[in-house]
Amino acid sequence: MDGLAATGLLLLVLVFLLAPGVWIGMALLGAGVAAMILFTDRPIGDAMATTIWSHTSLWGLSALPLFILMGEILFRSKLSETLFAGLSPLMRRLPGGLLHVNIVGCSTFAAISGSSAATLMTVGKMTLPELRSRGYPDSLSAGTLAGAGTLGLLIPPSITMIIYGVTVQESIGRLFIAGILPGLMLAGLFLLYIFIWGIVTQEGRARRETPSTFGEKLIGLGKLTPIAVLIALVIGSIYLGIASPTEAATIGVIGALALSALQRTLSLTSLRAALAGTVKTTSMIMLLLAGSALLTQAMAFTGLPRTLAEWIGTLGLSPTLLIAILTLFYIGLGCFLDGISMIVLTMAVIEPLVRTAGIDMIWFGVFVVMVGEMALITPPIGFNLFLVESMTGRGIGYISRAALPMFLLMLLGVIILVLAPELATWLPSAMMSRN
Amino acid sequence: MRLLHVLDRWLNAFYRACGVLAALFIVLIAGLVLVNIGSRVAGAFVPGLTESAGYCMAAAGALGLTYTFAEHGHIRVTMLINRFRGRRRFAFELLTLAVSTGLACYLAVYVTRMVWVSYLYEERSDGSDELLIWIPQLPMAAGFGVFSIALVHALVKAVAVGELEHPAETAPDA
Repeated sequence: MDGLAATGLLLLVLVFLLAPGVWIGMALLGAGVAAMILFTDRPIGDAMATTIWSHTSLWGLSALPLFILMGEILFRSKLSETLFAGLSPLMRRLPGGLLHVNIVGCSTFAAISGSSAATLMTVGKMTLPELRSRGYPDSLSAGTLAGAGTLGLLIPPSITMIIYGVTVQESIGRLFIAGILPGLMLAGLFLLYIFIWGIVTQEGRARRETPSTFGEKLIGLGKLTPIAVLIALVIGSIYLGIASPTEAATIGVIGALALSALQRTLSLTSLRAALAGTVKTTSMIMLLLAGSALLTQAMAFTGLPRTLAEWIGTLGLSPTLLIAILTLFYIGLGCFLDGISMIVLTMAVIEPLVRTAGIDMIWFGVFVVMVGEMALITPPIGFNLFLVESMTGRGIGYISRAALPMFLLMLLGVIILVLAPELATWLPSAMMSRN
Repeated sequence: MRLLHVLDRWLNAFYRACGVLAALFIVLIAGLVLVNIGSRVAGAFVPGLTESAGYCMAAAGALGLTYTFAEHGHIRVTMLINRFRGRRRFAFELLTLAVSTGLACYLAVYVTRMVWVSYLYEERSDGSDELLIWIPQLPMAAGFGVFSIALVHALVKAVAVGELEHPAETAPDA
């Protein structure tokens, strides 16, 4: 069978499994089995078992449940109130007022939680009612929340980065650090957008909050201090090479427990619920990783990705053009899938292609996570859209339109990342790494 | 019939117990890492700690599969089937469940076989612990085994009763 027909057949198998609603991890397993039946005479079942074992029993991967647990504990604390009370006096006087709290709140929570869903819900449950009661336009509250809620993927710790890291076997610590500046850049773009809205539009100028006193600012900063300490401990220890991501995650769990105890929200019930939530997310990812590990292995046996990479190589595309094509490809895919699924689904083929083109894999990780963020706010299937829908009661169409400016800002962010790759590569090159 | 009900209840309790076990493995990871940090600070080296954390990760991930299934935690694309209601929806759900069950059973058989082979040949890990590798592989195999049992269970029950026990909410994709 020639390569093209074979690729088509495998794609068809995958679509026929995914479309009727087979779990994505199982669909990947199915496609992997199909690839091995079609192209190799290796013993399929045995290869499957050892591949899954060797790709999931990893020290680096054990950071994953710990970061999830950290976020789950903090999600059940009073952190959203603290964040709002702390950030509001610092930001509300700016043009655009309390909308900034949405964005900075999400960025801050993203730095202590690996998940975008937890980030969005923690911040949104406090800001949305407050913004509405103060007469901010719903489209902006919902749009900025959906957009900034995606920052959990880029700003470390990030579950998506861990999954990318174990999939392409790159250092998770370096990936974490690489995400910092691009994440802050995106947050900056969102803030700028709201700032300009607050100056330029009639409606925005009407929303000027009362200035806060110096004392209020001081109290606000005081409330934020424990969170800042926790962020500094986790990310700082990775950056300085004192701790590996897994160790930093353990420190994070202890910090989260301490913070929760400080706020008197730590109880056996909340801890049990946090652990249950952690098991649920961990095993969801386990199935995805098992599927993607097998598919990647099977694809490597078939030699198809190498053929494809060589073929793309003969086209003589410049790396920039290749990235432009991949951006469109991922945006299209993102209409139906979330970022993690996109990564596990495509890396078997995309990784050799990108490596052959000589693109830095750490940079590419930041890129792919950024387009993965965009996937969360593109209809018809965008997880953040659903979350904001359930929190505001507005329709999915309305929220998609509200999030469109954020989507365009992220696209701008991707362009900036291509023009200035140092944004992602400078910090990791300056760090001390420890695995 | 009564016997089946008892079996059903027992199995569900068993699945929950596996979920609790998964949670304990996650706590164990944190414990191992703490010992690792502690020993490093003290300047000592305890072999096999990082490897063990990895083993616990695989065990936790596999043992929690069934709990995640019961909680509708496994993600899938729901665009198409959300358009269907009633019998047609049920037919699709049954079909996808059957496919997953088949794959899960196939996988469970071979993961179990891997553990058996490791046991027979007394294979050891490449890490500093040189542990007999079947020991950490066993909980992972158990996790995939229980997962396949739960899927067969759900499939048989859905066919017998004529509807899904816990139909997934039709909303998002996760």
